[in-house]
Formats: sequence, structure tokens, C-alpha cells
Amino acid sequence: MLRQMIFDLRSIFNFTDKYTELHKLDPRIKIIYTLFTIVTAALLSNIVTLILLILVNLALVTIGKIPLNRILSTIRSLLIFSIMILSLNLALRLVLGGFTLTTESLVNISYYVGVTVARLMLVTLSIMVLMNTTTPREIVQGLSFFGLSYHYLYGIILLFRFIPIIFDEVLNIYDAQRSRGIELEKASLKEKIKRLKSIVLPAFVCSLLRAKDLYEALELRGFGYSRKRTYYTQLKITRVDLLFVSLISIIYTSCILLQ
Amino acid sequence: MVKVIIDVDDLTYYYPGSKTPALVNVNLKVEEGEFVIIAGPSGGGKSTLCKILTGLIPHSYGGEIRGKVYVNGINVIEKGPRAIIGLIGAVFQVPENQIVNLTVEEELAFALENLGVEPGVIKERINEVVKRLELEHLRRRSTVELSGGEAQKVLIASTLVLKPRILLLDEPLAHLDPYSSLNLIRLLNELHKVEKITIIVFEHRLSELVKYADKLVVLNKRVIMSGEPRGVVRELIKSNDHTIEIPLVAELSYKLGMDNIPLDIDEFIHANRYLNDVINHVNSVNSSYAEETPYVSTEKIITINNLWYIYPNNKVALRNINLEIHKGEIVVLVGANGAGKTTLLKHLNGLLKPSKGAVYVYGHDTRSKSIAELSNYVGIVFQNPLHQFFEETVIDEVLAAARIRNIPNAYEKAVNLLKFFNLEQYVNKSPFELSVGEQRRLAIASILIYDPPVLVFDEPTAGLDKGWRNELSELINQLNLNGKTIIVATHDIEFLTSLRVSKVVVMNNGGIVAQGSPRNVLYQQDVLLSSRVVPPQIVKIIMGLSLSNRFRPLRANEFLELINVARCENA
Repeated sequence: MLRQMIFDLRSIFNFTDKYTELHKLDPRIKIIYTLFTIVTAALLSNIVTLILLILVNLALVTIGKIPLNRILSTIRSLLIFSIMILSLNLALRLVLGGFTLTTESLVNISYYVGVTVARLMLVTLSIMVLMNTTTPREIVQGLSFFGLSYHYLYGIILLFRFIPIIFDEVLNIYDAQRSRGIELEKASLKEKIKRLKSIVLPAFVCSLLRAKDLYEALELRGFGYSRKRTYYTQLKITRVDLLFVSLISIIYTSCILLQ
Repeated sequence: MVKVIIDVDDLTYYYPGSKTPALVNVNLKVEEGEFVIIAGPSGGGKSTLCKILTGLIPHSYGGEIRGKVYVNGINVIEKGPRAIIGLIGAVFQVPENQIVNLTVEEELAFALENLGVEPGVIKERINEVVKRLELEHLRRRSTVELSGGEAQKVLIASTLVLKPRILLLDEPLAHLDPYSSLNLIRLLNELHKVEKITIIVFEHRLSELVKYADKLVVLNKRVIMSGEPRGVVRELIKSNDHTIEIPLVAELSYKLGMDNIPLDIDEFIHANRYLNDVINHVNSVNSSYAEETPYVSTEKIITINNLWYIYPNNKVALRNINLEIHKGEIVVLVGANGAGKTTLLKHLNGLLKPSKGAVYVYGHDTRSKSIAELSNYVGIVFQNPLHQFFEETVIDEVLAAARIRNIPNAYEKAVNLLKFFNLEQYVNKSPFELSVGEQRRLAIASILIYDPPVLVFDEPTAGLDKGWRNELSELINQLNLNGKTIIVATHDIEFLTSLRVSKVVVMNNGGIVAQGSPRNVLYQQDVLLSSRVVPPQIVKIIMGLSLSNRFRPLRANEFLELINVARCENA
């Protein structure tokens, strides 16, 4: 299960090299779209509207040709996550008292969890659309247009470049340890924490070695050489961009207002 | 007059906090347009020198440095890496760690963007390089999905956009399979011949590489030898060096007492056409290898039936695999990177469960047993020892798997194992302080502590020089003689020939395309070729001499023996 969850998480941040209409949108527009989605998700508390917007975003995911299994695995992880929230929530309320188990209270709490999960899903989908159709470099280019320095922004790029590699590495480490019987799953909590070291420590060491290689690669290719950096692609707002941003604005605003 | 483009003068270097020098009084001159190979054992200072030439040492490392280093007249020790950007293009060992961006095109633009070059010029340069290296099909691809060979090529391209005059590569072949290695070597030769770029390669795998070089330098903390490749190779053979892999034909020619030392197989075959006649007239040495086939019991311990494995993303990784492994065998899986070797190995202890078909280990269906239970039968030593180490000392690392199983007398056993692996002097050291070869042995020891009857090795020679590889093959043979069944997945075909192999399994694109005794399978050139497996050098020689119908040696000494017998008989 741990293996599966790591695998699922990884797929949210993967760039898909498909070059659809969504890929071609201006990165600034896509950043605005994602921010707008996050704000809207926070403002909405009606489950029907939330589901409506999830459908809209699922449509975008389809247009962006993000592989179906990535979407499915993300949804699966979210569901596992929401079951965990629900049980934790129930357990806490029962333990802390002031809560009796009635049909009504159960419906209430399920609705509350439902809204939380729907919000989470909406936000995840919009991040997925952004990250799967935009390379981090384009995001940096977009953000640096808003006046942020590329020097710090490139940190984000590297994060996204190395997330999949480090996830894969953690999986390999996990496999190597399991292969000699050092398993996390079938052990007491105390032993589990002790055994966690067998994954965390090698992952840390290997990541440090990677970081060193990466630093050198950056240095040798002139990263930070000059304050002014060029971008070989130009940012240009096209008609499609405007159409996209207006459509999203209309849908989102009407959802917020109608609530 | 030829211009000296790199001038290293009496260079000595100590890493910070180290009392033993990494380099001692190194002198080296490279002329513009030369193709130079700097060979030497692991730990002999190759990477250190490479980093000094790029200015990373001492600029980012510190340490104590004496002597002078000039690159195109620029004092890099003083001025640091930024003074020579665009002049030297450098590519280091692990390709994936050096790629910064998420698409190939962005990666190619990266250095130029950093230097603030105009977008129009950047596009032009990218187009040029893409055309030159035939990268058009990769241009828009995500860098995460590149194979090792592709990543290496993209990295080279990403430095070529700066139009460097020197290209520096640190062990570029270490992470490539032999097929991709050949492609890379050809590319380097072309860049050297056509673009007239000065090329410096730090590498100890010389078999295919050395014939293209103008100069060969042997570095082991100091410059041991330097000069025209043939001369240096001859000296290497004479000095009985075991750390640098040289072309087999050179070694054979030397042992046959020939004056000329060829570096290329064709050259050897051309000069030795007469051997065909000599050997073909011999009758007495016909089937001399028959009796040395390793003893194999009839007891089946692993059975794989119609195994398919399909990844969650619907990629088919294994197609209808059928394989039987008997007690006491050494089975070697060969195939290009991505052929499915590791995926198959992961089925042997239940890390992966079959999508279709079944795997039986000592009669147990792997689907019905936990990994912990199966690990008692099958111990897997993975490619990177660093993926295992998490304890503070070597002895604790060996004991880790024993503690989980409450093995009696574990400490005693661990000490004995460390003795067997020649690691007893490191008992209380950290695993991270060991050399690469020692780490590899420690990884094996930490599996042997719970004594699984089957030992599996995934790419055991990755990152090892020839000395360590020889040691490892002896070790594996010894373990086999002690009763272990051994399964090895490797693309290192020369390593394979040094093992007591009973069965070779060739994999391609997730399926098994051939299996059988090594003398049978390794001589099926068409099968190997279509699976992107490069045959052993000795096989190429025998095929080249058209002798394979009668004689199928796997090792150099078998071939030499044959020739000696033939010569005696002819005389």
C-alpha cells in the first residue's frame, strides 16, 4: 500500500509531453487558473457546486491528454485519504465526547467530510492540469514576469525535476530492505519507527549525492552567471488564452455567486 | 605549431581534512584537437583531476592544492569554473543527476539562457546541435523518461550548444549498456574527427574506446604511463595491471608473441587469418570443454510458468516467461537496459506478483507467501549498495537482517562473514567510508547472514573497475562451489564469461529470446544482435576467424591453449 501511495503521489507532479491546446496556453494564464481554483474551492461549501466544478476540471484533464491511469490513481489516493480523515474525525469526536452516534450526526459529518474531499479533489485536479501541461521552466518564466527572481524560482524547477527520481529511489530502497526481511508493514509501532530509518537514511544519503552532482552541473552550465537571464521562448497572450481565462472566470464566479 | 590547450604542471591535491593526497605531482599536456583517454583504477584520482580541470576543485571543494593548471591559457585554479564556461563542456558520471529541466529542448537552451544569450541565437544553436546529433525525435520529450544512453547524448548536446573547444567526460560508459556505449564512442569519434573538438575521456573501460584515441594516460594518483595508445597498452600488459580493461586482442597478440599490438578486432583477424588454417587442421582438441560443464543437480528450485507482468500504467514489462532453475546453477540473464531483467528478478522473492502465470520458489507460489518468508529462500543483492546501508557500523549492517529473524550466534556468523569478505578490519567503521568494491562485498555479506540458498545479483559490476570485477567473479564462483544457487542479471558480458555459468538467458523487450549453455547462446550472433547484446570479444574473434563451427572458447586462455596445441601438432 505504501508503495502504491508513493507511486500515486508522484503522478500528480509529472509533466506529460503531449503538447495539446492546454500545453500551448500561456503559463501565466494557467497559474492564474490554478490560483483561482484554489480560492474558489475555499469559498464554496455546497457539495453540488463543488462536484460541478470537479467535472469541469476533469474535462480539462481530458483535453490535456493526461493519462487516465494517472487520474484514476490520484482519485484512489484521495479516497483512501478521505476514509482516513473520516475515521480519524469520528474517532476523535467519540473520544473527546460531546458527540453521540445518531443517524443525523453521521449524515452531518459525512456531508462535512464530503465537502472537504471535494475541495481537495478540485484543488488536486487543477494542480494536476498545471503541472502536467506546463514545464516548471515555463512556470518560472511566468512567475518571473510578475517580478520574482529566477534564481530562487529555479529551486522549484529542481524540486519538480527530482520528485519523480527521488520517489523512484525511495521505492527501490524500500524494495531492497523488504528483500532482506526488513519490512515496515508487519511490525509493532515502536519497531516500525526504528525500521523507518532503514528507508529514510539511505534516501537521505542518496539525495545528498544527487544534490552534489546537480550543484556541479548547474555551476558548469553557468547557472547564476549573470543577473539577467534570457528565455528562448516568448510569453504571448493569444486569443485562446483569453477565451480560456474568460470561460473559467465566468464559470467560477457564477458558482460562487449562485451559492 | 600545435597549441597546448590544457597544461597541468606539477599538480598535487589533498581533499579537505585528508592527509593522503588524491593526486601527486601530476603533469599533463593536451594539444588542441587531441583525443585523450585518462585511465586508472577507481580511487586513482580520475574524477578529482576532471573536477580540477573544470575548476570545481578547489573552487567549491576547498582542500590544499599545489601546482598550476591552465586551460587555453586561463589559470583555472585561481579563476574558478566561471572563467572557462563555454570553453569546456563537461559531462559527469550519472546522467540523470545532471539534467535540470523537464524537456529536452529546455535542457539544450539552459546554459545559453543562463549566459543571457539572445533568444534568436539560442534557437539557432539548438537547431544546429539537434541536427548534428540527430536528436529531433527526442526534442520535445520529457527528460524523466529518457534512457541512460539518450540522457548522456542530451547532456553532451547541452554542452555543445556553447560551442566548447574541449569536451570532458568522466566515466561516460559506467552507466550505459554495451550497445549504448558503442553508440556513444562512435559519437565521440565523430565529434573529434569532424568538429575537431579536443576530447578528454576519463575511463577504465578501454576495450572499444582506445582505438580512437591519440593518447593514453594511466593515472593512479600520479601519471604512471603516458603516450601513444599501442605503446601504453603494451606496457600495461607487461606490468600485469588488473585494474584497466584493455582490448582482448591486444592481450592475445602479446601472449602470442606478436610484434604489433592491435587495438581493434578486425586488425587482429586480418593479421591472423593463418590461424584458421592452423587450427582447422587439428583433430586432437575437438571437444575439450565438455567435461568442465558445472555440476548441476536435477532438483528444480525455481519454476516460472507463463509469467506476464504488466505495470499499473499498462506497460507490458514481462511477456510469457518460462524458466526453470536447478539447485547449484549459475544462471545469467543478459539483455539491454530496459529488457526486463530487474522486473524478472523482483518476481523471485515476491516483490512483484505475476499479472498472469505463476512463479514457484521451493514449491511455494509467490502469490501466497510474504516477501519476508520468501526472502529466507532468495536473497537479492541490488545494484546500488547505498540503497541498503542505514546502520552506523559495518558489523551492525551485517547484523540488521539477522536481528529481525532472531538468528542464533549471529554475531559470530557476522564476524566470520566479514573475514570471508576481507572486511574484518572495518568492523566498527561506517559503511559509507568503504570503497565501492568493499561496499559491494558488504552488501552481499549483509544478505548472506541469514543464509538464503539462492543468491540473486542485479548488475553486480555497475561502477566497478576490472580489478574489483575479477574479485567479485571469484567470490561468486566460490559461493557457488559452497552450494549456493546463483542468478545474475548483467549487461557486462565479459564479466559473465568469468563465471561458472550453467545457463545464459537472453532477454529482449520483456521476453526470453534464447536460453541454454553459454557456448551455445553466446555464439548465436543474430539473436544477440537483435536483442542489443554485444557478444564477448572472444566470440567476435572466433566468428571473425570463422572457427565457431568447431571451437567455441569463452575465455582467452582456452583460445591460447588451442593455438599452442595446434602449433605443436603442425610442427
